[in-house]
Parts: sequence; C-alpha cells; structure tokens
Amino acid sequence: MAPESTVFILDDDSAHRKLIQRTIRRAGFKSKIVEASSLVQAEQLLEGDTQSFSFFVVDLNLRDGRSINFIRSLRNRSQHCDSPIFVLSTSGLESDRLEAKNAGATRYIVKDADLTELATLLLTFPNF
Amino acid sequence: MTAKLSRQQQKKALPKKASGSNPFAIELINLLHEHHSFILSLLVPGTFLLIFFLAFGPKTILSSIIACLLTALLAFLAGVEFVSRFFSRALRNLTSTAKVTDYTQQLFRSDHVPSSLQLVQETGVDLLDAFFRASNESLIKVRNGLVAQLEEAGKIAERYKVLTTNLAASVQIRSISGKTIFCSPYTEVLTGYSSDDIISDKTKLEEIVLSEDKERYQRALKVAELGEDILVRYRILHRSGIRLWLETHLVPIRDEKGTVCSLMSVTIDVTDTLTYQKEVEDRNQDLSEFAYMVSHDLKAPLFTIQGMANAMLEDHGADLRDDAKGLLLYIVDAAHRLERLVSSIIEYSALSTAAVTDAEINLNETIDSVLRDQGEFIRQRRAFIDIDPMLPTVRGNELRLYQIFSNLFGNALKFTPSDRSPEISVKARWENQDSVTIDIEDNACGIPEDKLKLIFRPFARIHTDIEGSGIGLACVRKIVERMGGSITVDSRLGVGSIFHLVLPLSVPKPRQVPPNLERIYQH
Repeated sequence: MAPESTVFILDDDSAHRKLIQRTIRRAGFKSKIVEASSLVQAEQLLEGDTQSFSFFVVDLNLRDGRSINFIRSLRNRSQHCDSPIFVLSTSGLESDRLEAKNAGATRYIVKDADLTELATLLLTFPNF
Repeated sequence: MTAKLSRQQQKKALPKKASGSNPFAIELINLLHEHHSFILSLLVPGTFLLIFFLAFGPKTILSSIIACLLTALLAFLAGVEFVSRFFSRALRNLTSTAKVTDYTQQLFRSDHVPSSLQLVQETGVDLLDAFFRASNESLIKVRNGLVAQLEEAGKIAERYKVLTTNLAASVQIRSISGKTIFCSPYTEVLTGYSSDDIISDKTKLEEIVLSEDKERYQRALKVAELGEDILVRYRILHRSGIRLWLETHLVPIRDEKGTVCSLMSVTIDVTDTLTYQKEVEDRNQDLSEFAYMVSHDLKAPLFTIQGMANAMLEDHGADLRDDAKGLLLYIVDAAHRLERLVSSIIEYSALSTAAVTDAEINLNETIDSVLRDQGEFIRQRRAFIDIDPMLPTVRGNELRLYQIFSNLFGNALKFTPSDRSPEISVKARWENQDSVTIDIEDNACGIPEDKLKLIFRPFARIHTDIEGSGIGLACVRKIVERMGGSITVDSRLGVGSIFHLVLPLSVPKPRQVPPNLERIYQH
C-alpha cells in the first residue's frame, strides 16, 4: 500500500464521515483522508489541485444538492478520470443507482448498519 | 263519400216499368233470359243439327226459310247474353262501393233498361255490395292497423328525438366512408360547431382533434370499422379556443348480412372528471414522494445510530460492563427494526411511482425462480409444493410478479405452525378470456374472519408473534392492482388460506379494447 495515497470523502453528515473513515482504517488503509461536507467545499478543495486520489467516497444526496454533477466533473479532470468513485447513499432506488453509474460512479453502495459492502470492497482491492 | 244503399233502398229506387213497353215481349225476354242457359243447352245443338240438315239436306224454299229463322233466333239469344254480360262486367270493374252505388242508382233510374237487365243488375249489385262491404271492412282494418303502427313509430321517433336532443352527450352516426349521417344537437355544445357544419364537412370532427391525439382517434375509428366496440379518450380544440377532453364510445352498426355499414358514437365531456382524477393522482404522487423523502431522512440518522452502536461494541466492547453492552444491544436491535420499517415504507411508496413495464411472463418460470431462491427455507420446513405445470403466460412485470409469489410463498412457509409441514399448491382457473385466476392455497395458521379485510393494508399485522414488517401483502395488492389485476383471500383460522390472484392474460380476447387505446390519459 502506498503511504502517500490520499482518499477523498464527501458527506454532509459528520457522523457518517467518521464511520466511513473508521471502515477505511479498519480495511488497512493508512491513507491521508480529505473530507468535504458539501458540494461547494468539495469543489473548492479540488479547484486548482493537481493531486490525484486513490479513490473517492461520495454521498449521493447532500444538503446543497445531488452529487451527480460533481461525479461528472471528476471524470472530466484528467487526474481523476480513472480514479474509483464509490457512491454511498441511504437510497436503494434503482433509478438512483442507474443515475450514479451513468454519471461515472465505479460502484453504488447502500449505507447499511456497519458499511459491510464498503468494507468488503476495500478488502478485495489491495492496490488501494 | 256517398252512402251505400241497402238492398231495400235499392229496390225502392228501381224504376217502374215503362207504360209503353210490350208486357208479353218483356216477359218472353225475361223467361228466355232466366232460362237461357237451359234453352241454349237444348236449342243450340238441335238448331245446329237442323241448320246443317236443312243447308246440306234436300233443298226446298221452306227449309231455307226455316234455317234463316233459326239462325235469327240464335243471333237474338246471343245478343241478349252479350248485353247481359257486358253490363255485369262493367259493374264488376268498378272499384269503389260508392261509385257502384251511384252508377247502379243511375242505371236503375233509367227508363230504358229492360226489366231482365234490372234483375241481372240487382243480383250483381247484391253480390258486389257484399264483396265490397267485405273488402271495405278488410281495408279499414288494414288501414287502422297501419295508422296505429304509424302512430307508434311517431311516438318512438319523438322519444328518440327528445332523448338525443336533451342528452348531455353527442350522438352521431357516420357512414363507413366517414360522412356524418346524423348528429345530435349537443354536438354543438361539445365542439362549438353546429350539426349542419359537421354534416356538411366530413373532416370537421377530425380537424378539431389535437394533433397529439389524432392517431389514437383514427386508430379507434379503424377498430370500430373492423367491428369492435371501443372507448377512446382524446382532446379537441373547441371552437371557442378551449381544450376539452372527450370520451367517445364507438359502436359498429351492421346490416342484415352482418357487414359493418356505419358507426354510432356517443361522446361525453370528461374534462372535469380527468382534471379531478389528475388532481387526485398528483396528491397521491406528492404523498408518496413525501413518504419517500421522510423515510430517507429517517434513514440517515438511523444509519448513524446503528453505525455508532456497532462501532462502540466492536471498538470498546471489551471495556464495557455486561449491562452496558446489553443496553447497547437494545439500541442496535431497535435500530435494526426501525431500519426495516423505514425500508418498507420506501418500498411501498416507490411502488406508487415506479413505472410498470408490460411483458409476457411465463408464470411457471417466475415461480421456479422463487422456489429456487427460497429452496433453503423450503427444505428446512420440509414443505410440500404442488405447482400446476401448465400455468399461463400473463401480462405484467417479471420482477413484480416475482415479488408477489415470493411474498405469498414466504408467508405460507413462515406462518405454518411448526407441528406440521407447509403445503402450498398453485392452480390456474380460466373464468373469462381476458384474465386468469391463480389460486395459491396453503395450510398455514389462517386469518381470523374479522381481520380478512385488514391484511392488505400497510402495517396491519395479524400475527404479531411472528416477525414481519406488515407491508408484504400491502405491496402485493398494490403491485397486482398496478398490473390491472386483483387479489382476494378466503381463509379458515387454523386450517389455511387460499389467495385468489386475478392477472391479465398476455393475449386478450378479440373484443377487448386494445390496451394502448383504453382509458388513455396523457397530459
């Protein structure tokens, strides 16, 4: 695992960010974690930044809007066009899943009690 | 009309014999005429024989004279017969009793008519009078019958006129060529165009149908022309400029050979109904969206509660006392149940908004798939499953049909008391050509009679001792109804239940309105 790797988390709920961080750490990642609590903050953090991220964990529904356009904008940036983007949501709707996939999400994960799916996914991707 | 004369009146009207006439000659003629048939039958052959003998026998002056006299006598008798027949025929040719009476009166008033002729005419008039009397009575009966029928037809026509004039619907009859033959006055209210405008311009009605709905309207006409009743909804542009939703019921009219010769249509304004329906749909949609949003908003803090409680147990469980761990487990358990409840609300409200795509679904394949997925549970419960191998192909959504059978089978397995093996049978019944009834029978614990109406309501849990969200059968009913079917249940407590699932068949019977034309409502 590359120690210099960085992970980006976008979620408007601080408790959720904490739980996601815990899941990442428990999967063995020592990566630096960059957090954003809104779409606006996420855009500001990435603006002009040439840094690449190991992967993104993005909540779908945020207080200042849906993250679909943010995902599209990531795919249009050369340094992020191939980065895995995991969309986390409390919504299990097929339409949400499809919309996220079409925007460029690598995986759509429904938030469950202990983020089992995210944990399993991270464990099966040793490159991260 | 001149009144007929009775026989006595006719007799009174007979003219007296002329004083100047020879009574002997008249009597002789009468006698001859009265018995002329008998005389002729004897005299004619004898006379002919005598004439033949005298003409071709020995020639004497006397024989020639006698032959001439006999010939003259024959000619006289023939003349009397001719005159008699002539007048009888003349009388017979008269077609009116009145004319006959008048003519007869005139005839008998004449002083020049011989009494033999009077007798002949008197007899003729009697016969003719009886004949015409009988004929006249028959004619009067026929005429009265016709008058009654005409009056009845007039009343019916008047009734139809009152009906079509006052009915709040436009009634039209159009030929197969598209020409409007009849158009009730209410058409003007619906369209703004008079009946004359519509009858004189055969394209007028089609012109005012909005372009988006024109194809649907024309297809409905084609279907009706092919001999099917059809109901179609479409929008028109009223002459005043407003848009209206109309509903037309088209009925083909057939001739005596069974060929469609014209179409009758009854059209009503359904704008208010559809507007109200739309409002109700919008409110339901809002309600569903509200339920969905609330549920989602509930899910986020719920995720936090569950996540944090789990994290506390995993990360600090060893540091906690047992009673503290027990309290945390209560939180985790309650959060888990709340999470299931919220997920059920989301699932139920999503059913109201999700589009139902139609496809032809083989029920045996769908049920096989459900049985495969529930195989472990079926084996655990040692259940006996009996599926009709010839279940039909229905019209519906594969995933939704899977949900229906998965719910019903799952309930049957879950609610069968542990002291007996679950038995589930699935059979098909055909009660009409449009749909099929699938009976799903189980030997589970059954439903109390007073709770039967409740089981399809959301969150109505009958057996609270068995885990469940209370949303399963509500979802089943909603899915079935959205597919155009229905579901009912018969049950005996402690014995089992039979769910009757009515589903639309994939191939509707010919008279059914095509789905794309039936109750189409688009804004």
